[in-house]
Amino acid sequence: MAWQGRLLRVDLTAGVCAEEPLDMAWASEFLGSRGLASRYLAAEMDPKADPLSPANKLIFATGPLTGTTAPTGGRYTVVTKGALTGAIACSNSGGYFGGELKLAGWDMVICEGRSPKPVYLYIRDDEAALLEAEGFVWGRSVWETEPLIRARHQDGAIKIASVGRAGETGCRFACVMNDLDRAAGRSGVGAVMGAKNLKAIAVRGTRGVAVDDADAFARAAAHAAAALAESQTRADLARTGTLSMIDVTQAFGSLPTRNNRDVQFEGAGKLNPDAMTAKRRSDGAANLVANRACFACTIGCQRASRMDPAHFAIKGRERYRNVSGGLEYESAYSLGPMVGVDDIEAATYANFVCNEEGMDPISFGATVAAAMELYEAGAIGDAETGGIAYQFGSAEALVAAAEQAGTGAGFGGEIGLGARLLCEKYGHPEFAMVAKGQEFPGYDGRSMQGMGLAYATSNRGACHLRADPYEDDFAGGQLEGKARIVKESQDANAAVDSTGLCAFPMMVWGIDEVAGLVDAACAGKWTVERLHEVGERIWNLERQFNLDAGMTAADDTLPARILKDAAKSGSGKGQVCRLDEMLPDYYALRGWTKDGRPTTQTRRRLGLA
Amino acid sequence: MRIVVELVALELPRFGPGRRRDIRLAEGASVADAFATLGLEGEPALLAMVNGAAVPRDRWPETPLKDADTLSLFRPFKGG
Repeated sequence: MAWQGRLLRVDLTAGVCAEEPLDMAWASEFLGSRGLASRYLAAEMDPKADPLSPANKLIFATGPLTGTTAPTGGRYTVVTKGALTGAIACSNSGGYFGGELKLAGWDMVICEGRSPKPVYLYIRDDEAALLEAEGFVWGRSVWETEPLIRARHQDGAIKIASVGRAGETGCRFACVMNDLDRAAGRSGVGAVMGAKNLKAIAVRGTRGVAVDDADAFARAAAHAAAALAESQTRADLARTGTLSMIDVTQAFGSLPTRNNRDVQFEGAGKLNPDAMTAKRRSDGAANLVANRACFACTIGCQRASRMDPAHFAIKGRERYRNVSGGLEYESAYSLGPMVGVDDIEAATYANFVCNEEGMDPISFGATVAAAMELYEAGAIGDAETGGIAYQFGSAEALVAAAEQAGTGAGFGGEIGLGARLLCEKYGHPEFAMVAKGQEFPGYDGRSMQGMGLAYATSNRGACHLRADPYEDDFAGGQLEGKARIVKESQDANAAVDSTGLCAFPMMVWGIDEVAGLVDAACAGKWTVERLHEVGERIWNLERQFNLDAGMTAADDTLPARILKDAAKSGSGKGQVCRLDEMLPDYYALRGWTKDGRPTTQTRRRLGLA
Repeated sequence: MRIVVELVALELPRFGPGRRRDIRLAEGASVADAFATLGLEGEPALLAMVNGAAVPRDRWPETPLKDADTLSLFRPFKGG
């Protein structure tokens, strides 16, 4: 138990929904969510297929702990071939949609083909149907779509995952949004959904989730919750969210600034938690209204913000005066230092638009930064941008870019290509701060060598959540230890992502806490060792998918700026990322050949051959 | 000698009010000595920089401080 034991297969081409039993042999090897959905994806589609074609599949997957009372057990993932990267994509989201899908009785939903006309999927426990979206929610933003669907079905408790106009118009970094401002954000999973003419999945679940050993599970959940409750880290996350990282990376010199040309930003103090809680002159209120929590979460790291009503960005735009999801570290970095903007209200507005139209703010901001460098270099001009001066530090350009990219209008369609394709199109591929086509999160790989290796080797492209080199990097750990830290944390994180838990409790828990929860919830003996093995199996499966898609070791790289241009300041001053020294160790630890392919022995050991 | 100690994105009750203070140390004192003076030896998962450069934990006892140095203490989150 804890798995519901069944999946919903949705043939969008034929308009048919059908129940299937979950492959429990695969569940025992890949657990759930990220791992199990990746197993289905790899088995069912040609990795070489165009991600925006009907041959791609789009899987919404819960984990065995999703929908339970395990602290933070509300996560779901969207697994597909990424529109931004061409690599396997797994984007993870919180909020309440994942828990509701599980409570409706489904471990996952596999969407295949392409609907001949726009539709949305409506699930109410066992019942599932595709309903017309044309003339209803197609062409609408996420913020419009959710209340319209609830009103049509006269049920305010329905939870919805949808794409905004960015997903409909082919923005390569479009998200799947749920609960208005929670996102399965990375790699362009929303572009795949939009290409399938699938606007939304609306779900209402009342069935509940059964666990294998209820008493043991209650004890494990209580133990895990108590560990969080006593933790200073949990309290800090509730107080500042992840935003306080901006002070750390600024002090350390790992804050990507102006398209990674700098690693410290003079305006960081205008974007930090103190700035977010400072009372404004205009209305006497602060940007931060409150913190919020997802399903079953006892941390509450989300920011709820309200914009300055006097800010230029929202004049005449009433809906942006409401409270919505505020800046977290990654969005603050990408909509602030990365574009050289120190206006917290403009960054909040751009983040609101990203939420409303369903765009990944990391990729959006980093792509705007690339456009600013193209503009500065004269590779694009006012003729291309429609007269918008894409200059570093311009809050006006940031605001205009968000509005246009959100709907694909004007130069927004070019921004929607993502940094790699945009920079290639205008003759400067070196301006794209990407790994495997995915834009950098908010850590620079020169002062954080482990993060550089993590970006280069991440199966979904540059990612801050696939590995855990933070403490060692910030503590000035030696280069020799980086490969092991990255490899082992990649495996551990793959396992945790497959449970249905959030990654953030892992700042407090050891993986033994996770094993205790899974073991009590699920049949079979789930130990720490087994979770590590599951994680390693998932990592290698994802790697094999990418190799089968045509990627090679040459894709395990970083832009020349990170590999050849020394950091100008901070703790990494004078350093470049020494990726070429770390990669051979990493491949060897993984049991891969020197050209980055899992050996037959490794694949056999993990049951993948 | 006197050094400046600052907390970066951190609140530590044992540090006292505020996020920045001067402390007096003996000549030749190390980063570890500064932690002892501050009463922070047992504080979990703290990291340190001296004048913006990271100092690994195992080198705190052997890393000397000098007059007017800035010792920055922080405890980063993972992810973001």
